[in-house]
Amino acid sequence: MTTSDASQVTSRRVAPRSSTRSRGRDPSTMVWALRIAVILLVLAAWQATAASVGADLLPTVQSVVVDGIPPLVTEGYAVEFGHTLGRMMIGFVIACTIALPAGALMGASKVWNDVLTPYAYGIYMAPRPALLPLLILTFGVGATFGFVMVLLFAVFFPLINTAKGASEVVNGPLYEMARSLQISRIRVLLFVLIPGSLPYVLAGIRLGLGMAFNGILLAELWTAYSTGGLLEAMVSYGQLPEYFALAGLIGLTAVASYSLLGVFERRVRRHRGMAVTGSFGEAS
Amino acid sequence: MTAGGQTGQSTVQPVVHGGSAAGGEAQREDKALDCVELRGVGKTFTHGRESRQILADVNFTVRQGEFCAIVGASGCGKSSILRVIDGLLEPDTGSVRVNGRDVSGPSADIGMVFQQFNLLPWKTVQENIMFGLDSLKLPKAVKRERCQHWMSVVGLAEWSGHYPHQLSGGMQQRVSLARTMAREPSVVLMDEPFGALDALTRRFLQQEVVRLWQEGERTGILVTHDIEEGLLLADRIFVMSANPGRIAATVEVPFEHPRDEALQATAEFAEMKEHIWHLLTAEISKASSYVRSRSGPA
Repeated sequence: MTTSDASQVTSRRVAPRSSTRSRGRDPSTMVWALRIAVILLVLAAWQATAASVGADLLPTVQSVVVDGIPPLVTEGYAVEFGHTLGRMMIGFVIACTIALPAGALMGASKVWNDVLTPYAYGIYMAPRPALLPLLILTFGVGATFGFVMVLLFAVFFPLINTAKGASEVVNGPLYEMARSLQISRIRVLLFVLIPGSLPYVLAGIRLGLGMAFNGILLAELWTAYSTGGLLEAMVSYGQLPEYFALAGLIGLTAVASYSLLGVFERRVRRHRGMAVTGSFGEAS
Repeated sequence: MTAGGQTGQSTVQPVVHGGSAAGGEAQREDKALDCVELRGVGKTFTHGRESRQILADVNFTVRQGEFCAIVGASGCGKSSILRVIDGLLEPDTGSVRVNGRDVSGPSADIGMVFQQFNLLPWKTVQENIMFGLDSLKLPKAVKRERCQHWMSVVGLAEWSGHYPHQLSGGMQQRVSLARTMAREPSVVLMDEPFGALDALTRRFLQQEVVRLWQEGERTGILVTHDIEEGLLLADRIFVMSANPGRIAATVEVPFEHPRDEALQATAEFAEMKEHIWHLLTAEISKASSYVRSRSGPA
């Protein structure tokens, strides 16, 4: 190894740490501090609004904590939400099972890309809520309807992102290198195409998961089924603390699962020496 | 690398042949030693309704053990020639023969070193080199042995477990070089392999390449837009014209190896460089007037 090589590698490793120290402040700590400040601000605004409009319209923060959270366990609301999550995951797995191979096909073949792209964007652009009556008539108001809604909502991002990732690899230098080295098709798939498009696929899955939450809740609210039925009933019977507690649980679960996938995605990117920031919809 | 001639105090008279098959190529008698042979190679790329001829009637041969450089302006089709020889690109016209066989696709006989290294970021140095050996029908122990050998040759044995993003550009290019050389191809194609490196690392790797060539009987073709690089490494230099790309002239490089900084400071070296520069600029000017005449008055 040459001196210049060694110095380049050394400086690459040391530079980020020293620059952080010289500023004397960790940017991620500041981001978290600001995030907590925003939450506190929202809670304060909520409390002030609740005090002014009255508990019949908006319960106070204490009321939600004291009266709303315990029934999540005692009344089995959290368990019911667990069932909803289970159905959502089944629908989401079906969506990914369709989206990932179809996306890979679109990315690897121009013909299939031209064939499937209008359908993919058709699903995304179509006003899905307008299809609800038709879907209810077709699939009924039970679990199947939920699966279909999750499928319709969640399939687009994993599909398009996988297609983009596969296309980048197939038309990129790594694929040419593998061809030059006469690597077999199956090994190209396993060691070039899949790992090369993985960051795109993971970003698509993360965005698709957010859409899956939307799909399942919209389906259950429309048919007053399971968690959607509970939310509707709580509003109808004025159980607003319970309603806000359950809605908060849904929101927290969605944000937590989205963030967990984001952490996993960033680990994959970092492991591959790829840019950690910059993927669409990514929060650090 | 074959020794092209000798340096001396007298002014070097560059030996220049025309680009056609009937020119300098026909003068050579050692046809049996021809390793890479291009005859009438043409290639046109089509994008939608537009088509652009990249290569037209490209003719040249490279002898076994010879190291040749192709110099030309950006976009003149230098890299396309390498891809045609490697079998990555199929020519529309003409034929390409390597070691007496027609090229119909990539083969173990030919190795390619890319400008952007093209290492798998998710594999370590050792795994990247092993990946290059993947398609060879060799026992695993032999593959491992070759991998270890080439990691040592390029000075990266200590870095075997590191990922590409943990290495400098020069180290990454050495991994790429080791990956190609471990396959022991008889022809090595290099597509501006030092283009993305700083001057110091580039000079070091150029010396490494010369050393590797002096150790083995390999044939090499280097694509570069750096005339000095061609003069430092090659036995012959093919000067390319653009729009469409063809071999405009072949220049024999008369300097013996090792070619170091002292040679670069000589008047002969400067004269050769100047001569090739004039050939290149004449071709660029011809190509520009050709484009202007095709596109009509402004």
